[in-house]
Amino acid sequence: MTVATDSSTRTHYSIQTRDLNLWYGKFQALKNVTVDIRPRLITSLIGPSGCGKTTLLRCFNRINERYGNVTTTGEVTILGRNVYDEDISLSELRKSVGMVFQRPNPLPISIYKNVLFGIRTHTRRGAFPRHQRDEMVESALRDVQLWDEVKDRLRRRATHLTLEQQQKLCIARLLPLKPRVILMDEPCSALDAEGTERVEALIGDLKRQYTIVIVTHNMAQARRVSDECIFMLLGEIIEHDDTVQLFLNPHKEQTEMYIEGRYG
Amino acid sequence: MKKLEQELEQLRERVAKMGDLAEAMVVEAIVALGEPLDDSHFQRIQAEEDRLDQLQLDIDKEAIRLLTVYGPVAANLRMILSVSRINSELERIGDQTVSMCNHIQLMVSKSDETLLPQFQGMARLVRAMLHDTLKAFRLEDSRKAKSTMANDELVDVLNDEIIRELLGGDRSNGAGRREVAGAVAQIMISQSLERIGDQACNVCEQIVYMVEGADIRHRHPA
Repeated sequence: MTVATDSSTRTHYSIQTRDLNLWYGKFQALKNVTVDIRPRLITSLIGPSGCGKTTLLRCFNRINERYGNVTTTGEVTILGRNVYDEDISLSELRKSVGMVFQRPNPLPISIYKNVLFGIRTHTRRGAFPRHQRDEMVESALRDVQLWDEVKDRLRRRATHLTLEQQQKLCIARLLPLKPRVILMDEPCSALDAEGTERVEALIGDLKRQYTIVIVTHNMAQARRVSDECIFMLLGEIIEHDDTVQLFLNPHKEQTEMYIEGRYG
Repeated sequence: MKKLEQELEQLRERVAKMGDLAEAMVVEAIVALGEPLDDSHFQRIQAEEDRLDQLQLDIDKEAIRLLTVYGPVAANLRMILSVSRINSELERIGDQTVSMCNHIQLMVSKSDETLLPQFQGMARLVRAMLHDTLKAFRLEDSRKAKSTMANDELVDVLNDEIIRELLGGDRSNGAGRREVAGAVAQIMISQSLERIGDQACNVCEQIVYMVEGADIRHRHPA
């Protein structure tokens, strides 16, 4: 994906949607979603199950389209380009917009090869000499605070790592592609309390370089990790605000009821 | 160290700095008692009061943020609650120093009185109480906080003595306007010092609550 020149007001935001609607068959999962997501911040999407938060997240790298029978209208502009334009390359889009899933999904190959998997699928074979590949692996693993733990066993299968290490590896796998946006769908739900704490700390570090959007069921996590928070209900955005403000002084009654645990 | 702990440590440090500022203002006001014709003390206190007010707002905002973001419990929760209360006490101590300045100026401009000698001891005592209170806060030392509170009785005794002396003697028999102004100013100054002592005690109570979880407010010693 080619990034538009940084001259318009749009560059204040990494992700913008305008009147985004999405249907799974006849069921409308997103309704007129208009939202602006700022760079180098962590934005969390919260709301009860089925509110559309994961669907919205999946619009940002068009991964929803893997399921048939999906209709989308409206605009999603990422780094200045509408990702639903006809001339958008999906593979380029997914390079710029990486994704981390609920359950860590390392490939059953070595740690080393996992880190390079993404970049290898996006470049011709032999594009990088050995020393450059080594550097990429070390840098990515350092960025996710995994290097010291795995540097002596890079050739071992990644599936032998703990779940926390696997999830960090899945984040590391995105980094050689130099993404601008990282989408995370419940990235800590498979982890124990300590693993969650360390992955949250990692996410906090990564925000200096990336735009991070995180879907979470866990409101305490949304409060802890995110700078801005979007509350969704029945496919609509109810409120989008600074996280402290949203949890301290919500403007909409539905938000207040949800965060106080009175429904959802 | 966990993130919440780091942030609490930073909050504690900010309160300690606010305490230092309040203490510096009290010292300045006490110096002004001895140099009532020197305006620079009053000017500095005015400027510092603005800083103190801003610190109060910043610390409260941060305390609310930590409560909202982390939903802390136990010692962490007590610490944030205490910080919020200590914050208010420190701000009021700043207000008392401004009030002291106003009454020092009243005394100089409207009377020929000189301060009663008891003020010296009272000021020394109050200053030491505040200093010890802030030290107890930094060290999270509830024993020191409790022992500091004991000094408040002496401050009260000196305050009563000052008021008794100003209301008694020759003054009760047809005192002139300048004498009345001088007496009123001194009573107000004494009241301010006494209040600073009380506020230091309130901070000590919060230190005990923070460290031990015991609420010792309104428990008068037998």
